[in-house]
Order: sequence, then structure tokens, then C-alpha cells
Amino acid sequence: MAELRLAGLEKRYGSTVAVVGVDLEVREGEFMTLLGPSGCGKTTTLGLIAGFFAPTHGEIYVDGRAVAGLPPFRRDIGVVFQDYALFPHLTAAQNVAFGLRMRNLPAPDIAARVREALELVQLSGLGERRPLELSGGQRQRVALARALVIRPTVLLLDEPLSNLDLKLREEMRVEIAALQRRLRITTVFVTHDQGEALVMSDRIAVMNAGRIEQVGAPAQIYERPATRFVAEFIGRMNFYSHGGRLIAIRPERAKLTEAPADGFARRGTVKQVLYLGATLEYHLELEGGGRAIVEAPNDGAAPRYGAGAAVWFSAARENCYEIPAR
Amino acid sequence: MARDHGVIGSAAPEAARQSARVPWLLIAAPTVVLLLFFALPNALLLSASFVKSEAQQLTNEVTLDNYAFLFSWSLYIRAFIRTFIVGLSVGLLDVVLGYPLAYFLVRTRSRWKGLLIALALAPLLASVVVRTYGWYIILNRFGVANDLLLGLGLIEERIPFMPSTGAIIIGLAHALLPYSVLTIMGSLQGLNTNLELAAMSLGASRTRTFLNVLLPLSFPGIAGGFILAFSIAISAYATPAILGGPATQMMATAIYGFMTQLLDWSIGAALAVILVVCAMTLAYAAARLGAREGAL
Amino acid sequence: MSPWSALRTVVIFVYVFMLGPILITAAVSFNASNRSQFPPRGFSLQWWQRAFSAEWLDPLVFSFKLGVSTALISTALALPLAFALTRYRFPGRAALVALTLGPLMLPALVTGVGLLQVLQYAGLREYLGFSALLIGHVIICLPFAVRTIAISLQTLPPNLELAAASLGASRGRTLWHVVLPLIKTGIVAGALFAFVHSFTDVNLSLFLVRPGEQPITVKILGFLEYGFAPTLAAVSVITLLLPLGLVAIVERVSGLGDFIYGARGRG
Repeated sequence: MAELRLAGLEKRYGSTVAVVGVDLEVREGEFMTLLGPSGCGKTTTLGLIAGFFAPTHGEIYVDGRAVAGLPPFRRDIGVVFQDYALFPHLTAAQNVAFGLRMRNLPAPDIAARVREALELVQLSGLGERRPLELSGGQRQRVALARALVIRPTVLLLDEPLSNLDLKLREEMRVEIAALQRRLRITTVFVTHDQGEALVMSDRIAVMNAGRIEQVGAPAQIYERPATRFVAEFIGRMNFYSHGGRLIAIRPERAKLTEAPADGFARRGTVKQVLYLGATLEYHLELEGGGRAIVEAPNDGAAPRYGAGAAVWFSAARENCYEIPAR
Repeated sequence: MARDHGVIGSAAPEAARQSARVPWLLIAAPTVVLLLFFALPNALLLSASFVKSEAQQLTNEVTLDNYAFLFSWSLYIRAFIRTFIVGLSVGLLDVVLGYPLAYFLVRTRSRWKGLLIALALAPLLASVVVRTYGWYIILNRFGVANDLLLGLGLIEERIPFMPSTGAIIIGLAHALLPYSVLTIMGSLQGLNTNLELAAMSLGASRTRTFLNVLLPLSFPGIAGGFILAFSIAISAYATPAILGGPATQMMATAIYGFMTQLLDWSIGAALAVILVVCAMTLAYAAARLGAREGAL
Repeated sequence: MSPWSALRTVVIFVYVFMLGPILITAAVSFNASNRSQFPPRGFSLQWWQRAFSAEWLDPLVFSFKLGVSTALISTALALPLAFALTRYRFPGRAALVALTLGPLMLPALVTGVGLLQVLQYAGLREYLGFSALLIGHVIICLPFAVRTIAISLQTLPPNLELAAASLGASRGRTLWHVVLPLIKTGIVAGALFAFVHSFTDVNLSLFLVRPGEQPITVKILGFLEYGFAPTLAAVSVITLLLPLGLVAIVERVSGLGDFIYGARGRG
């Protein structure tokens, strides 16, 4: 049963189209990521689900109820903002308690649930601090606790990790995903970072220019991109036209060989070899024009080909993927 | 406005210029001007208030009689009270009217935003006299308000809206509204728009969002706007003079009366000192509030 | 009705309250009769003709001259003062700040009364009129100019002067070529606010006038004791249009931007 359903959602601002023709179903307990570059409409879509503004067309169903006309405070959602939006005049505990107060729960219940929530995000003992006195990572956890404590039907996260530094981001990715799996709350996560999307999601909806280009599990999106955009946006891709068809080959699925292998093969010259620690990247210029990238694991041996070497760029047939025509 | 201490009040410490030498060349002229024409007159006023006045001349007799007189003659006690009530009402009115306007101007995304802000502040370019005159036209016995009410059949006889304390309050509230709008706008500007969205996403209706989030966070602006309107209102002369009369004296009109008509400089000076003490107390209160403004 | 529409309705009422009296004054000045009827019945320019007679034009010009002089002197004094207060830390600085902002915090009325008293008791009554008014106006307008210039000095990117120095410019040349052009807007804004504050002042001017030498605001106030006169309405509109026009011109030419927040003053 779909916990959240978007039907024909559209949002226009004057002549600008922010979101159009968006149909999406998010299953109960699922972690769905809206992934795309800035301006693709993912944040607008989240705002529509939250009720921060009304759609120009279309409908939103939360747990079977049509909510597009309802204000945010009647939608039973929880939102984590990119800048956390913690109330500066309240302590962390009071921030977390806010949603419970709005639901008029009795004080002892509120206190108990706030304690629980702070424990869940590993902030026990910091409840009396104000947002100003907390680090970025701690504020993010308070924002999370605040949205979770009200046990919403749908949890919405708007690029909550983008203001954290790299190490913290990678840590929090895993933590949030684990938390979500434990609590089984239907979640919509917005990000432009494909690494986050791949690691955390049950399914990903890749968006571009206001539309959804593909919805699927991370592996499916990566292995079988439906459009050129999706193929290029997630990971990197080598593209070739072949008899009117668009062939896509992942750099890590291609090889450099002495002689043409079975499948796809092109002659080329190595222009650059990049040392990236765990992998080596060969940048090639192919005969007849065109570029290619091959990614090879760094197995400790010295690179077999240096700049200027003449090689064959090959990929086995099963590693060549045809992007379906529109 | 005392909050603006922050701009001048904190010197930008520049690496090359942290000398503790007094920049005499720069401050000489302005300081002399200020001391001579501001500090000195006010000091003289202060001393005149403690001196007896006889036959329109200041004597050398030190006395507290001037203040005693003011605090005992009911006419002037009423003037104090009236001034206080007017100030309070004007402050409240201007905050209640100014807040929605300030919020609208800060949040609106209309392309006329600049024009709307200009329109809200433009009245400040007209002298208080001019703006009050508009109310004179409206409120006098043969004025617009009476014409309208008569025309609508709501009254049968013309109502003397002025001179009255109520008319003064309306006139001052109108004249000082832009100040409170500016002050409240100042504190709303810094508020993160996501805070209201966050509150609503957590189940707060618009009213509850206002009470629980907007109000506490914009309180410095509200209090500042109130104090600003209050303090200007209590020292107002033109509006009480035009919309009020001998029966509705306020501190400023009383000072004018003493200084130019009764020519009792001592009492006039005492009144002025009392007015100054009130104004400074308010300025201090405003500055203290300003100190909390960094709460965001 | 959506919450935003409700807000818009309230805002419209507030605008009507704010602008109504001014618009009514303007409308009434075109009245054919000499009653303050609104909507006006009949159309006449006679009151406007009278508004441009010598009786009203003289004080208007007087106010203008006074305002320009005040603006120039205030700005001239404010510039070094603002520099000193924003860039130097010296003993007594706090006192000087208090002295500078003092005229803002004290009612202008009191400053006027104080000056009158000084002139009276120094036997300098002959300076009442333009001279005394100029002094009084400079005192109450100086804080505006200082604050505005201080704001522009504070918002100068600090590295610019260091960059100029590294390129070989002396302190003087840096000031002339780098700092001054950048704070030009602040100086102009400060002068403008000083002018407007002087032009619209009545509380202080009231005490320092002398027959024949009074600003337009005091003249209007005096006339009001005789009740309504449509000529006053026309004159009032003129006294609004003049500063409005000036502000519009300055905004066009050099922009006023954020200085508005520094322009809070007195009534």
C-alpha cells in the first residue's frame, strides 16, 4: 500500500515550470530519494509534499487522504531542513518537544518522549543547550529528533547533510539510514549527492528540469539507466553512437587491452593516467575522435600503460548497455 | 535608535590603526561645536531648573521649589499623566498597526516591494506639522469625518472630535507609525523563513506559529518600536498643539507655554529636565533590549 | 480567505490610514470653496496660486537655504568625526559617542529651549533667526550624518586599504583614491538625511525664530491657529514634494539602499 502518492503534480511560477507531470508512489516504510542537480525540482516537490506551497495541478495522497489543499500543520509530516531551522530561543529539548506541545500531549508524556528521542540520536544530556551552543552535527541530530519524536506518517529531509563536512556526512549517512530502517517511517530524502542516494535509499527518483526521469532501486538506476541524463548523473559513463543507438559503458567495466577483445573495441592513445589511491584512471583519446575513461583497481603493480601508449579500449558485450530511445 | 550604538559604538579594529592616541585633528571642530551648542545649553538648563525665577529673570537662589511646584499643581500633574497615557497608547497602536505591515514588507515577493517600502516611509518626508494638518482637516467640526458621518446618516449633529486627547493619539500614532514599522522590519529581516515552516510542519497553526515562534523572536523589534514611538510621542509639540487645546496640555506644550508666554524659565527648565530624564530612561531601556538582539 | 490574503487586506487598511490624510490634504487644496470638504467640490487652483505668493514662498526658500546650509556643515563636521569614531580607539571615545548621539536621544524641543536660554542670557538675542536656527539644526542633524557615514565606513571591505598600500599608495592617497569614492554614497545619504531632518523640523525651530526669519514648518504651525485655510493645504503638499523629489533624485543618481535603516529620527 502506498503511504505517499503524488499524482500528476505540477508547480508553475508564472511562466517558469518548477515541477511537471510528477507521478510517484512511495511504499510504507520505504526510503525514497529524490536525486538531481540544483533546479531540477526536487526541493519544490518536497515543499509540495510538506504543504509549504500549493501545487498548480495534481494531487498528493498521504495514507490515502488527499492533502494538497491542507496546510502543513494538518498533514502529519516531519521535516528536517537543510539549515535545520532550530528555534534559537528554545533549548534543544524544547525544540524537540515543540511538535508534541502542538499536539497538546500531557507534560510528563512529552518529557518522556523527548528523552527517548534525544537518546535515539545520541544526544542525551545535551537537552538543555541552545542551538547556538551546539556544533553543526549536533544541531542536525536535534533537527532529526524533533521531526521523529512526533512519529509522523511521512518524514521529509531536505539535503540535511550538505552543511556538514565530509567525514561527518559519511557517518551521518549510515546513521540516518540505519535509524530509518529501525523505525520504518516512510521517508522522502532530497539530495544532489549521488553517493548519499546510492547508500541510503530503497529506491531513487532521478529528477531533471522538473520531471522524474527514472525511478528504481539504486542498483537498477546504476546498471540500467533509462536516459542519458540518468546515466551521466550517477557515476560516470562513456557514450558511443553505434548505428543510431546510444551505447553506454561504465569506466570500471571497460578494459585496456593489447588487442581488440570480443564485444566493443576501439583503438586509442592514453592521454593521462590519474592516480587516485584506490583506483587508477586512464583518460584516452580514441581513433576517429572521442574520449574514454577507464577505471582500474590499484592492485599494487605499476600501471601497465603510460601517457602516449597505444591501446585498445574494450568492453565485453554484457558490459555495454544500450540507452533505450525516448 | 540607541541600538545603533553598535555601528559607531564599536570601533572596527584595523590592524594599522589601533593607536590609543586621540585623533585631535579629526575631532576638534565637531567636539567644540557639540560641547558649546549642545552640552553647554543643556547644562545651563539643568542649573536653571534649580534656581528661582523672579520677574522673568533667573536669580542666584538655589531651590527645589520649581520641581515642588510642578509635582503639586494638579494642572501639571494631569499634563504628566496625559503625556504618559498618550505615549503608551501611541506606542501600542503603532506596534499593533506596524507589525502586520512590517511582516508583509519583509516577506512579500511582489516586484513592487521597493515601492511599497518607499510608500510606507515616504510620510516621514513630510513635516509633522503637515501630517497633523491632514488630521485637522479630517477631524475638525466641519471636516471630512463629520461630513462623512452626517452624509451616511450615522450622526445628526457634528461631533467635536478635536481638540481632545483622542485626536492627539490618532495624530501621533499616524505620524510615528513609520518608525515602528522600520524598527520591527529590522528585527524581522534577520529571521530565518524556515523557522515558520518548521513550526507549521510540527503541527503549529498560523496563530500558534506566531505566538510560539515569531513573537518571541521578533520581540526586540516590537519592544524597540514601542519604545521609539513612546519616547517621540511624549516629547511631541506640534501634534498636541494642533489637535489639542488648553484643556489637553502635554509636557511639550507646557514647556512652550512656560518658556515663551509665561516666561518662567526656571519652571520651564524643570519641566524640560523631567522630560529629558524620561527620554533618557527610555533610550537606556531600548539600548538594553538592543543588547539582546544578537539572539539569532 | 488564505492567511496571506487576510494579511494583505489588513495591510491595505494600514496604508489607507497612513496615506489617507496626506492624500486628503492634497485633494482639499484643489477645492473651489474654502471649506475642507472631501471629496472636493469644484476645482480651483487659486489656493495654489496663493501658495506661491511671497508670503509663503519666502519661508519656503528660507527653509531650503537653511536645510542646504545645515546639510553642508553637518556633513563637513560628520566626516572627520565618523572617521575618528570608527577607526580609532582612544580614551574618552565612549563619551564622545554619547555626545554625538546625544541630540538624537534628547527631545529636539529641549535642545531648542536650551539654545534659546543661552542666547537670552548671553545677551545675544540678535542671533535669533537664521544663525541660531542653523546652529540648532546642525546639532540635531549631525548624528544622522555621522551614523550614515560610519555605516559606510564599517561596511568597507577591510582588505581594500591593505591592497592599496601593498601597491604603493600612501595613507593620504589611499584615502583619496580608495576610501572616499567608496563612501561617497554614505556621505550623500548623510547629507540628504540632514537636509530632510532640517527641512521638516518644527520642535527646535519653534524657539529660535524671529519675525521674518522662520522656516516654513513654523509658519504653517502659526497659521493653523486661525483654523483651516486651503492655501495651507497647498503649501503642505509643496513641503512634502520638495524632499520627496530630492530623495527620488538622489536615489536615482547614487542610490540609498541600506541607509534607510540608519535614518530613524524624531517627530
